[in-house]
Amino acid sequence: MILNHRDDFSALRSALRAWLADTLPSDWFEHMVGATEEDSLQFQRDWFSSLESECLATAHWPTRWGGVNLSLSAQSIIYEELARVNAPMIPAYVISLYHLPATLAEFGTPEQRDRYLPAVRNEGVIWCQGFSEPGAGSDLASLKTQAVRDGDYYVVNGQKVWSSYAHGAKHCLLLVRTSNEGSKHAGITYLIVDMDTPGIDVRPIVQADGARLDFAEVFYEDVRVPVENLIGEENQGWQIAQTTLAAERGVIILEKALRWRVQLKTMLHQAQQSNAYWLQDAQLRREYARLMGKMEGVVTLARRVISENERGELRSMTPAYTKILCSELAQEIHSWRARTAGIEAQLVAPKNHLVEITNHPMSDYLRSWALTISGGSNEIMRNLIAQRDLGMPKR
Amino acid sequence: MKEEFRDSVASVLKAECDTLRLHAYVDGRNNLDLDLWEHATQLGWLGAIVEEEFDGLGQDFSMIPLFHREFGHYLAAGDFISTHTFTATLQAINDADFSKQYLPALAAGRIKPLVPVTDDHIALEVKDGVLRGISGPLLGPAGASIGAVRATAENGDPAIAIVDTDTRGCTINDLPVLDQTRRKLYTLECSDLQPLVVLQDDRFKRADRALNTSGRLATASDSIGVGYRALESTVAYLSERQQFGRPIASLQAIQHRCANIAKDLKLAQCQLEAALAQLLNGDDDGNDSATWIALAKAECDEASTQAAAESIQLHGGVGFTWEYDCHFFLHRTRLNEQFFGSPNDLRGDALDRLTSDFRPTSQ
Repeated sequence: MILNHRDDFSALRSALRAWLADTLPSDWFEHMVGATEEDSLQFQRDWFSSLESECLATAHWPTRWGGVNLSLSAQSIIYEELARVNAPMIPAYVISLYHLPATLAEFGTPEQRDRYLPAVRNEGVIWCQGFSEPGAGSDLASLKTQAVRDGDYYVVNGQKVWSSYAHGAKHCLLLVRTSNEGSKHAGITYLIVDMDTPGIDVRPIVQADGARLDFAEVFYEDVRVPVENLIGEENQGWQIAQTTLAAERGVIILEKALRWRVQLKTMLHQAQQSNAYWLQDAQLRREYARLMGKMEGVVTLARRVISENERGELRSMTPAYTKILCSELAQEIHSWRARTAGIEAQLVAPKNHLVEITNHPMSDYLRSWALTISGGSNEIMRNLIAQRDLGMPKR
Repeated sequence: MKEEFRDSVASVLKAECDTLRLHAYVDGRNNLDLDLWEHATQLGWLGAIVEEEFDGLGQDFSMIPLFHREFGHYLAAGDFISTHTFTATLQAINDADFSKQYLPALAAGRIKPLVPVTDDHIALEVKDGVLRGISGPLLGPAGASIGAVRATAENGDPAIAIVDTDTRGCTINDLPVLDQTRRKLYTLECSDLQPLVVLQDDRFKRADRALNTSGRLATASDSIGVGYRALESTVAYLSERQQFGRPIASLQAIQHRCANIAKDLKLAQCQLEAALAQLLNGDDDGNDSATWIALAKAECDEASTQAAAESIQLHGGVGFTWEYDCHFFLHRTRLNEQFFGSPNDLRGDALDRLTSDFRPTSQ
């Protein structure tokens, strides 16, 4: 097992390198350029299962999530080594790997944990999330999808949006309204829904960059959800959702940041190898150096989010800062690439969606808005920083 | 230890360098710079990185940011950067006699040093072992008696000379600056001045690196201190100022501008912390961490300048008056930008370094 070397970092690195060299098909990148949605999803399932054969996908799971509770430093090494070979990302598994265990660990029943967490690890079950609605984005608590109790079932009616990978998912983490009494936050309930339940209709939404996988809207019409699928108590959903959302702001960002950092160095070497024109341009050289410098700060911040989480500092503002800074920097990097790549970046070309920095700068640039908008838009983060960190009044 | 040190610096500066005294200093009604020097001397601040055997506190470079962030925050009058920078330069030369003679005096504040803040070295030449010409701008407290200057060696290479400024042939010229919290820089005019030592080749490289590393850490931290002070003052003002029947701090347009300042300062500060960690845990001879320190310094200066500039705009008309502190912030950060490399220069140098180890065959 690679993770037997978890305390000896140089041995861990070597073991990871050897394993990646053996396991990752050398032609995987070309194979996934222009891949269909179905092929891409299947490839992610296969890669997830390879990673899991060494516990690498769930290595960050704390023991209470049923994981191996890997240290932050060792986890960073895994990310760095994956980044070094530009290994495939597995975006279809984001909810399964981060949101689900965080939510169930704190609020799930033992039966729910036993049923759903091992299934992720052993069978590669994909989950999706049903939070946002057409009328409830930044103001998530105003959500209207309704669940009415009928015997041992909730009957769900409504519409969710931005549910990534919903069509490949087996289950959904769903927020519904069970009460209109009191404040809008007080009537929200958290359910697990099987995506093959009758009455669910998943429709893909094509993204601005042409991708179809990341987005879907999901319609619920008289969908019957067993009461045992309730997470926590009825009307406790808002509080539980905060835990789910906090999971977004930890290791997910660190993995991206470490990948970008490695990629910035790789791209610089590639530019030297190909004698790229921008290396002769003093202003572009300075801009590139600045991006690399900022990335060091973002990596430091992302690590801090995790160490604060581990210490239980739940009211820290670090996640809000990290969210803005990380997403803005990614957008700057992609903007710089699109700007300097010449007219080539404006040509139609198939791309590989499973890496952070693809062969198509303009497309990456467009996709970077997913980072600045999702997970609490950067404007919401600015409100938080102004009001909670700087103490500026709400009204 | 470090937290205690920082708290002690902060509490003394809070008491001694409040905004009223600072304005009085700027208007020529007190000697705040000398008073602060006296406190620094008595409390051992100036010997933070001096070895214990030379009567210092024996701490590593992580003390420099702690110290200078507080000095920036309180817009401390006078200069304290040069002492730490000069100390680091002497330590890098690692000359037993020099160390023994000067480090205890530096730690005790008995001698005040000047250090070069730009790379200018053309107009000062070493000829037949003596210095002739005029140095580039130097930073230091009033009444300096020793200095490091950049000069051109006899073989045309850049060098650093250490000089006793009380020696014959040495004149210190004032170079008044707009930043009234620092008032002036200096130049040294040298006519056949006998230097204490001229550092060339390897010794020059070591001294140059130490000077830049310590100077950039100190300046960047000073800037971050000023930047956060500008933000705090601005938020405090916005929370008091009423228009349209409400504090303008409650307006979202205003809140987002403040949040932008805060997040840019946060990133710059984290970059500086990351760079410092690389320096302290460095795996090489400091070359690599020098790149990240340079980039962090550029970011700290720029984020703080932006914070200062925004403080003027967000204060409205009063932000544009002599009476308010906003112009102090901006003057100080803009001057800091020019110390030990401007953001443009530092970023250009950084990319040179990052591409210098390129081997075309490497994977």
